[in-house]
Amino acid sequence: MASGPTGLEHRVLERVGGFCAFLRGQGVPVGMAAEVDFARAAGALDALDRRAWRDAASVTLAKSPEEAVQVRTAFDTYFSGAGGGPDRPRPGGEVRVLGRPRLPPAPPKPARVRVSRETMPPIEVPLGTYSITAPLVPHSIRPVSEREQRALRRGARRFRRQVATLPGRRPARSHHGHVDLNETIRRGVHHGGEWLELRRARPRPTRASVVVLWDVSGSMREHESRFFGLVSALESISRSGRIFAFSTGVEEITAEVRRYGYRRATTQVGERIDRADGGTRIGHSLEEFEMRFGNILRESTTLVILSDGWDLGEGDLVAQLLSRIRARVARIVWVTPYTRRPGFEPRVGALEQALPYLDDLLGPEDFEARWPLRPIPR
Amino acid sequence: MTKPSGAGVDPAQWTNPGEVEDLLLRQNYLAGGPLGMAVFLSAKLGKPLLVEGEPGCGKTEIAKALAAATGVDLIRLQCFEGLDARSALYDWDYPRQLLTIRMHERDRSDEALEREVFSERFLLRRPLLRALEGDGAHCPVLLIDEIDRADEEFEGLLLEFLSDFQVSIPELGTIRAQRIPLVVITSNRTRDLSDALKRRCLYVYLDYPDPEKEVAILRRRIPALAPALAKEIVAFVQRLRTEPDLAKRPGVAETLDWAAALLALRRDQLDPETITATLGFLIKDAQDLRALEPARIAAIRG
Repeated sequence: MASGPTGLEHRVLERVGGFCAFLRGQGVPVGMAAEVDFARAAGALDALDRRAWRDAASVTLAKSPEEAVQVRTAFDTYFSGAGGGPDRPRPGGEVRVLGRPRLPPAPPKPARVRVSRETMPPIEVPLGTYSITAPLVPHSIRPVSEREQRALRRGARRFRRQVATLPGRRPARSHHGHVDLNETIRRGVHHGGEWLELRRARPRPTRASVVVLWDVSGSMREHESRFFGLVSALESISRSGRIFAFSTGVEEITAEVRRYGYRRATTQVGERIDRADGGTRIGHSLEEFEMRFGNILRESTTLVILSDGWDLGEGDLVAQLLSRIRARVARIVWVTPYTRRPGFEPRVGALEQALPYLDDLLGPEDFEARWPLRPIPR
Repeated sequence: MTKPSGAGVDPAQWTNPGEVEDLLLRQNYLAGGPLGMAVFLSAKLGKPLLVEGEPGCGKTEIAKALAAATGVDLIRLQCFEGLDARSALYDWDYPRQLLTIRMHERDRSDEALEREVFSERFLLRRPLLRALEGDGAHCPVLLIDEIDRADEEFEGLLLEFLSDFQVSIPELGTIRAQRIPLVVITSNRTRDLSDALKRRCLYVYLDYPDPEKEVAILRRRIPALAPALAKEIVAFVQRLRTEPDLAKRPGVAETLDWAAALLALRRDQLDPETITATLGFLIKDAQDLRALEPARIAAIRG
């Protein structure tokens, strides 16, 4: 029968747990598996070898070079006993390992102009201008109801099946696929080894690689909650998917959407997409997206653009960029909030330019409804 | 498969990271700091080691040095786009299966024949399966090289292998490792690896070495190189790496090649003509080569 941890082991485990919690507080996503690895590593090391502990923390808890730097810095802070903390080395090299360390003050956040909704003076964004120095205002994204979210997720799963491009592991019989020797031989066994027919198969497409571009400009604000519900649903259908928010520039928000649950993500993402009142530059945003993140676009990618198409007009930049992007991806889908409104026609600036390069033009209702997704006739 | 050259040392007997560093040093591989710790913990915890870093910084060499240091086989799986289970795990020997069916079609039932042709006798073992089976007494070193070149689906295929060290073959059942192999996975970071894969691995990032370490590597690998020239070479390469607009910066492998070339040319110091003539050893991009005009090289030399 396995015995429980001894007193020293218990204290070591306590410190490992405390350090991992501290790291999570610093924004390093430490999973339980990594924490267990660090605890097991600690058991294999000299408890007083500080350098070895630091290296072990870096090797077991970090999963990228940036995280490795964060872990090392956090280790030095947490175990330094800075400011008279409990880990201050005693004469003779002994390290006290009791009690919680005094946490250092959180690093200063980047300077932001925080304006509350109540005190914020009205900001007018005249058509035809934009400003990258518009005040930074965190968005307050209201979570949609659970029922609505479930409906969106169901719709997103249907969407995944319809736009599937990535091969799964299960073969599907196909007259044009590769020769399935396994199956051919199985059939041959029943005919004395004669290959009466060559069985052919190809991998059954099961998944889609989805990249989402979400317009978070002022004109989309009234649809923000519903569209964030859709963003979250689309993220859940593709593990390799990436999410970007754009207005006058592009920011990746995959980590915020993926790391936290839907409700908590509304707050995290709302704080992240604070620069949205400077207007919309869809063309320039697409240009920036292509330049910074173009390497993620593949033949299997479905690009989903969530936008009303209102922008400040930048010639035919949107058409130019979408024609280039269209050649690199499997499908481009545009989701606009107005498709179900009576008399809707895709005649607004960027949307009109984009139309020739779109495979589907959908509304969020298409995801919520129970019927299969139907592209709207252009 | 590469044959080992060193004396057998059981990784399970390692007691501290310093021991690992000493062993690797005997193979002329300098593994200080987190790398020694990562290899040590990989053996202790039985977890794969994911090594990311710039090209030419010694990621692949770790596995080779480890295999040589521990006296075991190195099994290498070179990743490429389109790599699948048939090339990585196992395949069936179809010609032999057909021959067997023909030979026994009269004296065996269909079911017995099917059982026989899908038995271990007809299994072709690919690198991952070979690494699991080993030779019983020793666990090999498995190198999964440049995994970022493989498709994302291949990562999914690896998950079962890396977490449980087992492979499921529908016709035969599950094959488990008798002894967990040392697994080194390398990536040049041309794309992000999945969280699931990273979670199963210990992680270490190999950056370009500092000047002192790079000089030590040169002296170890090319003992005939004059110390002064080694320092001069490293100083130049280190400054070259800080140039802002290079498409591809020279790694340690390029430094070693360049030093070997200078030694073959019997140079004992760097001069502008020699640098210009041999710059192709360091720079592997045509645009970079064009951009490095003599005046700029002189400025880099200081």
